[in-house]
Amino acid sequence: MDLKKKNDFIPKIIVLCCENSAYRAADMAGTLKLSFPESIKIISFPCIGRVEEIHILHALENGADGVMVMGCLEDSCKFLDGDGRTKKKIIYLKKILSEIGIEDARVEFHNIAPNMGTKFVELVTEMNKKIKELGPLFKKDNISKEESDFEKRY
Amino acid sequence: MHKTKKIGIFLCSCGDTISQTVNYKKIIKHFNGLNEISVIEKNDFMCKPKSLIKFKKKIKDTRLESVIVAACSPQLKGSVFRKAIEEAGINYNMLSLVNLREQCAMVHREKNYATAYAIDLIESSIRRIKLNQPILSKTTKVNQTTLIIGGGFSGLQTAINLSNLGCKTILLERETSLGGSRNQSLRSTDNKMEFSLMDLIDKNIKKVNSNPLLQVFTQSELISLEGEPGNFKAVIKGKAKNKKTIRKNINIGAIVLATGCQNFFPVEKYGIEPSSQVITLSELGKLLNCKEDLKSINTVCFINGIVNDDQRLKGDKLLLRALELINKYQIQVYILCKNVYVAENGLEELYQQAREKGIVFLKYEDKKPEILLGKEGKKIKVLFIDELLVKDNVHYKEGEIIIPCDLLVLEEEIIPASGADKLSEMLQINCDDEGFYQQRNISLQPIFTNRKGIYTVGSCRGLKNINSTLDDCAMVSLEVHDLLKEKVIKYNLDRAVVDNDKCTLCLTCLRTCPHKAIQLENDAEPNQIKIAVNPLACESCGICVSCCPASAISLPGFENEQVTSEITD
Repeated sequence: MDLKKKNDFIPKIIVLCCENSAYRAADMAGTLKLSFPESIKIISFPCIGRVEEIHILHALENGADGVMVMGCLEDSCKFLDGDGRTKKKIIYLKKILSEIGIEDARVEFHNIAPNMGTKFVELVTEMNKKIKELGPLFKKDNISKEESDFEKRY
Repeated sequence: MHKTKKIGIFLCSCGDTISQTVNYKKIIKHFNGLNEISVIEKNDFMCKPKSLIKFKKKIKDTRLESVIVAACSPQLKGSVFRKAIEEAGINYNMLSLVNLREQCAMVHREKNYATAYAIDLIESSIRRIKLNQPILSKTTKVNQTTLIIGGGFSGLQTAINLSNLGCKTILLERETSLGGSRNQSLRSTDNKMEFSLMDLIDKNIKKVNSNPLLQVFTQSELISLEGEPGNFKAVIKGKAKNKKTIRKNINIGAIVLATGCQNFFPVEKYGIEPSSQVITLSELGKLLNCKEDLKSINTVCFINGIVNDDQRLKGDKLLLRALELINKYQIQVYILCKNVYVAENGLEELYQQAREKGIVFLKYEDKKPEILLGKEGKKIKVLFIDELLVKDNVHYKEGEIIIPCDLLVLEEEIIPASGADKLSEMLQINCDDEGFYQQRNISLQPIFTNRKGIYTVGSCRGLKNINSTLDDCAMVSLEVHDLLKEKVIKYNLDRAVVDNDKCTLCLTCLRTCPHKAIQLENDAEPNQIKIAVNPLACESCGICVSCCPASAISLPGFENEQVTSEITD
C-alpha cells in the first residue's frame, strides 16, 4: 500500500488509547464529522496502564514517526491510577529516547475524557504538525548507508 | 507458526454512511485473492435482526473459525455481534470489530485515502485475529449472604432494601442498640424534617428486628476478612449475655460499609480555652431539652464558616436551632458567617423565616472573629470587622463591632467514625485525605470501593443529606442483589494469568494491583509460596502485566504479541 507520495512526507502516528476514554473521544470526533490528519492509527487497550515501554519502542522501530498515548483524566481512571502509572513510564521513555538520539517530542502522553472529541482532533493535528517539522524518524538513505557501513566493517 | 484459520470478513455499508466514502468494491477485490480468507461479503445494516440471522447462517454454513466485522464502533454494537457469534457457535474472542464508520469513513473525506486506510485497518485486524485464542467461561458457587457494618440510618435502610429483594443479611453494630446518630444528636422537635427522620429510623429498627431474613449482632465487630467477592470468610467478635467475648466465623458474599461519620470539636482552631459558655451545635440540641438552663440567657451568638467552608449540609440544623431559640424562649440570636449557603432543599425557606423572626445575620470576611472570654458568668464578647463600615480599606478600626452574648455556639468538624481507619486498613480499602472511604469514581461509580464486592453507603464517604443517602441505599442494594442473585456466578476467563515458573516473587504485582486481586498462596508443595490471581476480583485492566519485570503475567486478548502485531505493519 503506497500512502506516501514522493517528496511529500506524511507522518505515521500511532495513537494508543484507553477504551474507556480516548477511544470514545475518537468516536465522538467521528460523529461530529471532524477530520483526522492522514495516517493516524488508533489502537485500544482495556486500560492505558496496560501500555508498556516496549510497545512504543516497537512502534517507533517499525515505521511509526510518532506515538501518542492517551489515558483518562487525572483521578477518573476506572482502575484508580492507570493514567498516572503510564505517565511515569512515558517520562522514563523520553529520557531513554533522548539518550539514543531520538527527539523525545515524538512520544507524548495526554489526559482526555470521552466527551472531548474536538480536543482529541486538536491534539492529533498538533502532533501531526510537530512530526512534520521533525521529519521522518528513519530516512531510507541513512539506514541503507549505515547498513552498508556495517557490512563493510564486518 | 500458527495454523491458518478460516477467516470471514463481513462489511457493513450502514445505509451508505460508510460506503459513500469507502470503496467496498476495491476492498473486496483486494482481499478476494488471499487464501486465508474464505468469505468476504458486503451487507446493508448488519445489526438488524434479519441480517443477523443471515449472518449466523453464513457462519454456520461455511464453518468459519474467526470473523471480522467491519462496521461501526465496537462501543456501539459490539455486544450485538458478540452475542450473535456466540449463538453461531464461535467463541466471542474470535470476533474482531473494525471501526470503519466513526474512525474511518466519517473522519477521512478523500475517497482513495479512506479506502486505503480501511484496507490497512482490516489487514492489521487479520494479523491480530490469527493470534486470538478462544476464551472460556467458568462458574463458581457463591454465598448469598450480605454483611452490613454499621446499624445507623443508612445501614438499616440498606438492610431493609436487601431483605425486600430477598437477600439474606447480617447486620453488625458495635454499640448496644441500633440507630446510630439517632441516639446522640437527633432530638424530638416539632420540625417536620427532623421528626420524619426519627420516625423513619424507629420504624426501620422495628422492621429489622422482626424480619426473618435479617440477623442482627450488636456489640460486635469485624476482625478479619479473607477470600474473594462471593466467597468472603469473615471473623466477627461479639459479646454474649454473660459478657464473655465470642468469636464467630461467617461466610458472606458481599460487604456493605455503613459506618457513618461523627462530629469533632476542634478547640485549637478557635484559639480559646474550653468554657461552659462556649458550646457546640450538637450540645445545644441537648441543652434545648431542659428548659431551665435557658432561663438566664438573653443573647446567643453562632459563629459559622471557620472550620468548614461548605456549610450547606449542616445549615438546616443551625437555622432550626436558632429559630427554636427565638420562637420558644424569645432569645436574641446573632449568626456570624462568611456566606449563607442555601443551595439545599428547604434551606431558602428556613432562611427567610429566620430573617422575618428577627435573627441577625452578620458577615465577616478574611479576618476571623475574635472571641474574648470574660470571667465565668459574665458576658462573652465577639469582636469582628464588618467590611461595609470600613471606608478606605485602611482604617479597619471603624468597622469593628463587638457583640456581647451569654452563650456562644460554635460549629464542629465532620470526621469519619472512630475505627474507620482500622477497618479500611484491614479491608485494604483506599481512603481520601480526610480519612473517608474513597469512591472508585466520584461521578460514575460512587458506591464502589477499589475492591470488588465491598461497597460503601451513606456518610462514611463524607456528610450526606437524607435524600442522597436514601438514593445511595437503593443503589447499593441493587448492586449487591445483582452480584448475589443467583447461586453461581459465571465469569469469563479473560483475567490475568501468572506463569509461576517465570515468577521470581518480587511482589511488584501485589503492590500495583488496584483491586487487591493478587494474593500470596501456599502451594501444594511444602514451604512454597506462589502468586495467584483471583479471577473474581480481577477486572482485567492489565496494569500488573505491564509492571511485571519478569513478564510472567499475561492478559488473554492483550498479550504482547497481539499488541505488537497490530502496531507493526
